[in-house]
Amino acid sequence: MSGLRLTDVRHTYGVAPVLKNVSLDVAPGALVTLVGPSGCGKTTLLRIAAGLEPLQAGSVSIDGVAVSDATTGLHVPPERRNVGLMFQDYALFPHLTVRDNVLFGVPRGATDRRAWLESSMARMGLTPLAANYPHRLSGGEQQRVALLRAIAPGPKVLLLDEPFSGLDVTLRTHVREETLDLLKETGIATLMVTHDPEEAMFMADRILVMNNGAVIQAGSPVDIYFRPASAFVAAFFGPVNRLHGVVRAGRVETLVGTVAAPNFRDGAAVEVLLRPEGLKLTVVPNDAPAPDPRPHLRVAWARSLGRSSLVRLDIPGGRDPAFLQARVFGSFLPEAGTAVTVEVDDTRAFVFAAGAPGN
Amino acid sequence: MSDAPSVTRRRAPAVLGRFDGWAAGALVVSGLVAAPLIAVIVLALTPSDDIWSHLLSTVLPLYASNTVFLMTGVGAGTLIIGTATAWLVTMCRFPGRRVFEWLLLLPMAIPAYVIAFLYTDLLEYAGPVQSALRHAAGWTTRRDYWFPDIRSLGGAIAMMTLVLYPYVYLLARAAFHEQSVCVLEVGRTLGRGPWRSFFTIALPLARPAIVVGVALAMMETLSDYGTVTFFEVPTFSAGIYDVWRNMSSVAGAAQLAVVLLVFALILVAAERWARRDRRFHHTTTKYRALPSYRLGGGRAGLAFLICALPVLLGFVLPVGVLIEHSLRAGADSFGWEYLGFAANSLLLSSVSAACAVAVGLLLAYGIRLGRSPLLKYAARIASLGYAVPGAVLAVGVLVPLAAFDNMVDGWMRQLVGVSTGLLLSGTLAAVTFGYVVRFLALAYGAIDASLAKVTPSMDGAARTLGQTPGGALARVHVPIIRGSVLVAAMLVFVDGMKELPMTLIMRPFNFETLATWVYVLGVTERLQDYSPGALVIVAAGVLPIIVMIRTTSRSRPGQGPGQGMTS
Repeated sequence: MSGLRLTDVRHTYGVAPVLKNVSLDVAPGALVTLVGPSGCGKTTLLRIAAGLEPLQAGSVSIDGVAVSDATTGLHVPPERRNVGLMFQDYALFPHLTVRDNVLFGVPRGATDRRAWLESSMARMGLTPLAANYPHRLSGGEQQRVALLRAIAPGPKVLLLDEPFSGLDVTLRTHVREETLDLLKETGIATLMVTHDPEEAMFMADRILVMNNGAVIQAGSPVDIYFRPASAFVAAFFGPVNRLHGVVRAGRVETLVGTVAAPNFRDGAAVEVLLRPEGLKLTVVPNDAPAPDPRPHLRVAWARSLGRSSLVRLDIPGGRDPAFLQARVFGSFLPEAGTAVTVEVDDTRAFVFAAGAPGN
Repeated sequence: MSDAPSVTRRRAPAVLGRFDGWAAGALVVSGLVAAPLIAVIVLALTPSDDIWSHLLSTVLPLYASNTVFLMTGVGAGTLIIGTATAWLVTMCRFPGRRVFEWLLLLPMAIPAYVIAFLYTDLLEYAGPVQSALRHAAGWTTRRDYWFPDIRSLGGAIAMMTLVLYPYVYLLARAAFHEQSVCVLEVGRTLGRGPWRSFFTIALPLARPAIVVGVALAMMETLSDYGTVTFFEVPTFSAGIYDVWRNMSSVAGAAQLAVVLLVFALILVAAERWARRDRRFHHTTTKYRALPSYRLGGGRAGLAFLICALPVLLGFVLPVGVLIEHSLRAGADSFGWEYLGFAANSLLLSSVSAACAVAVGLLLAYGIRLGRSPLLKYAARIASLGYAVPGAVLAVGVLVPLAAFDNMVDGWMRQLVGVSTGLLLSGTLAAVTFGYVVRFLALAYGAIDASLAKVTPSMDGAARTLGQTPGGALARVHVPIIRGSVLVAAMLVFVDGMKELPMTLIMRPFNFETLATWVYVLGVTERLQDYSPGALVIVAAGVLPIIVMIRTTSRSRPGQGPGQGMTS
């Protein structure tokens, strides 16, 4: 197996475990993102892969060659691993110009590599800045220099630590696309760390979700979003409404209708997670001819967010939760007090055993 | 797959533990530096002739009381002058304020023994001041009037205060600068006047910095040898030299040295305690122009006078006298002899500076790589040298070296029948080693502080881009901290130029530096002969002050060159 492989990596700082038996593979040309809340061990994993952090247990191999092995004590120092690492704070060398930063890791004799880097700098709009020092660059420009510097020596594996977190929102989407294009062009095995689920979905071929030092789900962006393995993953990838219920004949009855729960036995207490965009609202006309079989909910408020509208529905009777959130595409702004019925989109409703681990 | 040609790098697996060559080197170095201190303690504990009871019944009480009074006096004097002038130049506006801001640092450049020689010449019975007084008042003999004796405990306190108050001034000024304006303004809006807000807000906030400054000034006081011997106010430093040379008692000198070491350690503890406390004071990142109390009329005059007096007495007058006498001495005093001594001083100080910087860099970088607690303790011990008076270190360096020489000599005589004599003790290598031990803290401190400019991720970036730890040091760390490395070297160089007690005890036979030469001539009051030499020492001392002024005015918050460079 070429690319990057980590097997059963464990790590503790003092007594606190940071990583618990993490294994992962990144094939050449693939982009894997590691996503999870801050402090879940993502950055430590990158540092272990780069050789900056000594390995305590497990093994690491790059391009099919073992570079760290806790059982034999093997530790190839970072400078001999052929790994590129881009830091969250970019870590540009303040005493070197943009060009010298980019060429820092490239041997003098590598003329064709240098030529490729010059053309990449030109394409990324860095050539006019080549003689400048990093502190005179904008955040986006610094990001480009850091990325180019990391891939400049032609590493087998590229590690990106929150590469876009230093950029403002509007710039971020643009830089993200540009980065993806460059990475696809070079075909390096890339492992990217982020705490932003949308960014992970945009960049990744494959996503690993981490929490408390363990990978809790791995899969394609579509898998993770539409088939989350736990309530934690579902909630991490987007806002959810949490309801409680009991399974009867493969279905859960909720306030807003029934949801399929095929893999639960009868009588199991479950938690139902509904995405706000998976709730379809219909205004009940005042002069409804026949009583609608579905329960009516009242609108607490509705706000326009431009592309979509956010609607809060009151749940009467002091129940938990006290309200539901719905997101409707376009402009849907019923007045407060309006009665609506709710329909649930099954692909955006998830059922988990109540109190399951990882929630 | 890609059109990017890749650079193939040779991959050779290697085992690299956490405890590598750098960490080992740092440990060895700190062990070497700590060795003299350990030697002094071991020597003092070794039972020997009954010198201790002899000392106790004769000179010890005198040493102790002189040392305590001197430290207290200099501590109080530097505290008052340093804090008052720092407050005036940072918080008030009066004519000359901006110039005083750096003028007030200048007395630091003058060694205490030089200023002691000069004021003795000015203020003694036959000197110009008393002569003028007698002439003006018509007095004819000593009995006609009272005049304070400069060569006394009080005189020594005055002399040292004049040249040591800048330590307190420097740190207090920095602390006042750092204080949040808002805190002071809150004090004003709560109805406190400028004076009350000074004593209830600004001073307590700056107290840790002031304690550090006073502790440094007292360390210098403890270490002084030239002034106290000339004024015949023997302290422990003078006593060590006396017992060592005149009573030839190694154990006695070591025992005195241990007592002195206890004083020094108390100061170190006070300084460390204050520095630790200081971290909690950085509560705001807001910097605005400090409030300026515009002083008018009489108050401005008073402020001017308060700032002018220390500069006048501590720098302008002494340097004026030195220049005048150097000119009067003319070309005669700049002969071969003088050039030889100057060359000795330059050589010793620059070699020591280079060594101290190299060792400091190794220590700081080794600790950065290793991150092991053991190394951190080692560094603390290694940087104790600055607090340890020169006379103590001299004993700690010389005795083990002499023992080594005797051992080698004995072996060689037994084995080959050749006497090797003194190999290390009494050589320039020994003096250089002493200098490095004493001044390492200066170099290490400056380098360690500036290494914070290199973020840990820059280390990581350099390593993943193919640099070994040594390569990263050469290509990233050293270029980034180059300025601070130079400052560190300069600080050691200047202290080396001034150094007296260690050099006097450890120098090779007939070897003179500018400092020892000035001292020997000064004791015999040959003002014209030593003026040129003293002037060179002072000029060297002014150099780092100028650099310091330039760097601090550039590194004021908000004016730094790179936003991405600070960690």
